[in-house]
Amino acid sequence: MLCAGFIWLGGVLVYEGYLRDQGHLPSIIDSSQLWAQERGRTDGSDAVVFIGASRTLYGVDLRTVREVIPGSKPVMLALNGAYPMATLKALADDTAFSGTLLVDVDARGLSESNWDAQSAKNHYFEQDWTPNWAVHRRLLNALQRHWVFLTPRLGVFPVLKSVITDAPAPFLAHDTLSAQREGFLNFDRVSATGLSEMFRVGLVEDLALHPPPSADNWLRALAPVKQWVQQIEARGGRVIFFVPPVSGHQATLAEAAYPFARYWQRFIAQYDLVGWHYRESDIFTALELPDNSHVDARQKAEYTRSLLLELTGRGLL
Amino acid sequence: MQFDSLAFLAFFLIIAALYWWVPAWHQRKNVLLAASYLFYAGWNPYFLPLLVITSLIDWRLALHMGSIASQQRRKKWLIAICTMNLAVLGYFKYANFFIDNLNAMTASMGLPEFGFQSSVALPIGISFYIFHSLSYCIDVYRGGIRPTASWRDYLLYVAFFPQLVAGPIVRWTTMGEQIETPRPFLTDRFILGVALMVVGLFQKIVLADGIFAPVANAQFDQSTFDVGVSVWMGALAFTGQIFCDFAGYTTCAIGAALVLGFRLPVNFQSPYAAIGFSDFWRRWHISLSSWLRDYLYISLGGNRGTAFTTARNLMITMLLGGLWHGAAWTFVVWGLLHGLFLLLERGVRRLADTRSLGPAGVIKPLGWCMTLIAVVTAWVFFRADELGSAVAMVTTMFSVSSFALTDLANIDFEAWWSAAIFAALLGQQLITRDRPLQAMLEQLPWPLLGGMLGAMLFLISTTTGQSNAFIYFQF
Repeated sequence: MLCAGFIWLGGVLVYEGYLRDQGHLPSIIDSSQLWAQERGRTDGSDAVVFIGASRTLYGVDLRTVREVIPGSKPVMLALNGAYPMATLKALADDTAFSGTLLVDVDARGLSESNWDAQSAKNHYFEQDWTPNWAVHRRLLNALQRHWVFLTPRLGVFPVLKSVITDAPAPFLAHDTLSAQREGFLNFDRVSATGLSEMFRVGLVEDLALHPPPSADNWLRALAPVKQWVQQIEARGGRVIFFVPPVSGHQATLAEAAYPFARYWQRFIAQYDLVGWHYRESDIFTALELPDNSHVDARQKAEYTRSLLLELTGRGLL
Repeated sequence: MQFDSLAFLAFFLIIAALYWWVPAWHQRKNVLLAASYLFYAGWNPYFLPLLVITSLIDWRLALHMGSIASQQRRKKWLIAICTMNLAVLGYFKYANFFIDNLNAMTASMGLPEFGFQSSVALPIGISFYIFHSLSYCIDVYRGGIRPTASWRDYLLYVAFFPQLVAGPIVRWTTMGEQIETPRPFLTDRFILGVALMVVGLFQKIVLADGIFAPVANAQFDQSTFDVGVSVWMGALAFTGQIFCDFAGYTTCAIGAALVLGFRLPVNFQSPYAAIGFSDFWRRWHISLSSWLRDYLYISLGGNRGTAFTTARNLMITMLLGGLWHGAAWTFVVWGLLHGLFLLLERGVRRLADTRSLGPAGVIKPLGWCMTLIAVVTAWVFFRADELGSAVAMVTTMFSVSSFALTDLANIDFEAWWSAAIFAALLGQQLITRDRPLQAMLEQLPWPLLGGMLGAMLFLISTTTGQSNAFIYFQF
C-alpha cells in the first residue's frame, strides 16, 4: 500500500510540475455540478441571480454586487456559450425563487431557436443533482483551486493524445473560475485580436446558419416570455432584461442582423418588460473591449459598478 | 452515493474508521446500518422510507411465515409477500411503460388515452433490494433458512451499503452468518479490499468513463448508421464500457465489504472469454443469473419437462431478466435474444456431440468468437435509445455493402484507442479465464501489486471528466 501511495504521489507531483511548467494554472472548472450547486442557492427574496452567457459570466463581479445592493445574495448562473431562456423558464416554474433576476440576452438569444441552449443544465439540476454530488462538488472545488492536473482537458489521456497524434499541446486557458462560478479573463495570456477575429467568424457563420427571423415573427414567438416574467413577479420577484456592451465587429454584425429599434426596443415595449440595452448609454456604447465582447478581470469591478449604477439610476433595479 | 465520488471517499474513510473503532459487534452493526441509510439518502432521501418500510414488512412477514408448519398456509404468505414486493417494483419501475404501451395500443384503435401518468422517479437500486428480499422470503418458504429474529440484522442484510444499489445480489445464506458473528480485523483482507476498490475505480473512471463511454456515446447518439466500421467500433466500445462500468462497481463493492470484514460473492468471471451462452451467463452478473435460475427458472419447472416446456421456461426467464434491467422494449429484445441464443446452443448440443464437430483447437476459438459476436450484437439493443436505431445498427454491422477500406481512414483516434483497449481487455479475460481477480491480486508479489495500484491511482486522479452514473444504478 505504501509503495502504491508513493508511486501515485510521485506521479501526480511530476505531472503537476509538468503542467505548471507548460504554463497552465489551477482553476475551478465549470460543470453541470458546479452550475447545479449555484442553482440550488436561488431560493429566497434576497437572491440576485444573473443568467446569460459569457459576457455576464466573465463580466459581473459578485463582490461589487454585494456592495452596490447591500443584503443581497448574488448567484451566477450565466453559462459560457449558451443563451439563458431555458433557465428563465425554469426559474419562473420554481416557486422557491422570488428574488431579482438579471437576464443578459440579446435579440439573437431571444430567437426561439436558442431557447433550449441551457436545457441540459436545468435538466441535470432537476433530475440528477443529489446530496452526494453536492458534497462531491464542494470537495472537488477545494482541490481544483490548487491542482492543475484536476482540469479534465489536461488529464493524462488528452495530453497523451496530443503527443501521439502530433497535435498541438492543450491550449493555455486565459479564463479562471471561482467556486461561486465567477469568471475572470486575463487577456495578457492570449491574443485579444486573434480572439476577436475568431468570434467574428463564429458570429458570421452562425448568422448564415440561423438567419434572423422577421421582426414580427420573432416578436410573436416571444409571447410566453411575458408569462414567465409574470410568474416570477406574482411571487414578489423581479426580472430585468439587459444587453451588455459589445464593440467593433460584434456590435456592427449584431446591429445589422437584429437592428436595435426593430427587435429589442419593440420586445421591451410590446410586452411591457423592464429592460436596458447598452446602446441606451453613451458610456457603454463607447466602451472598447479587448476582444470586442468581454471585459478583462481587472476591469470587472468597475464595469459591474457602472452597470448596476446605470440600472439603478434608471429605476430598473 | 456513488463510489467514484469524493463524497463517498470521505464517507467511507469516516465510516471504516468508526466501524473498526467501536468495540462491540452490535455497535458496529448499528454503525453499518446507519451508514447504509446515509449512503442511500445521498442519492435521494425521500426514497429512504420506502426501503426501510418494505424491508421491515418483509422481515416481519417472513418471520411469521417461518413459524407456520402447514406448507399450504406458508405458500399463501409467500404469495402475499411476492405480490407486495412485485407491486412496489411494478409501480415504480413499470407503471409508465405499461401505460405508454396501453395508450399506444388504444390510440392505434382510435380509442381515448388512459389518462394516468406517474411522475414518480425510479428509486435507485430498487430491483436489487427487492430481489434481496424476495430471495430471503423464498428461502424461508422453502425451508432452506431459518428467518432471523433480529430486525436490525435483516435491515442490514438488505441495505448493506457496498451492495445496496447495484449488487451483487447476495443471499442470506451468504450474508446471514457474516452479520450474526463478529468480523475480525485481518490486515491481509483489509489491504486486499483497498486494492479491489482501486481496481474497481480504475475500471469505472479510467476505462468505462474515460476510454469507452465517449466512443460508445458518439456512435449511439448518431441519427444514421451507414458506416459498418464505425458502428462496430461503437458496439465494441459499449461492450467494453458496460463490463468495466458494472464489473468496476461490483469490484468496488466487494473491496469495500472486505475492508469492513465481509466477503461478497464474485459477480463477474471473464465473461467475454465465454465459450457458449450458458458459459456467458455463468460469468456475467453471476448473482442475477443464479437468482433467475434458482427462483424463477426452476420454479417454472426448469428443464424437468418436455423440450417445449424447457424452451418456454428459458424464454420466460430471459424475457423477465431483460425486463428486470429496465422498462423498455430494447431490454425485452435483449433478453429474448439471449433466450434465443441459449436455445440455439441447447439445440446444437442435443443434435451433435461438440467433439464430433471438429478438433477442440478449432471448435473452441470458433465458439468463443461466435459467442462474442452475438453478445456484442445483443448489447446494441441494450444500449440503443429505441428499437429502430438498434435494428439499423445491427443491419449495418452485418451488411457487406456498409464496409469500405476507405472508411478506416475516417476513424478517429479515440475509437482506435478504445478498440485497442478492448482488445487488451479481451486478451486479459482469455488469459485469466478461470482465475478470480481476488486470487490473482493475492498472488501478486507486493512490489508488482504496489506498482500496479500506484499506476492505477495515478490514472484515476488524472482522468477527471464529468462523472457518469453507473449504468446499473438505473436498474
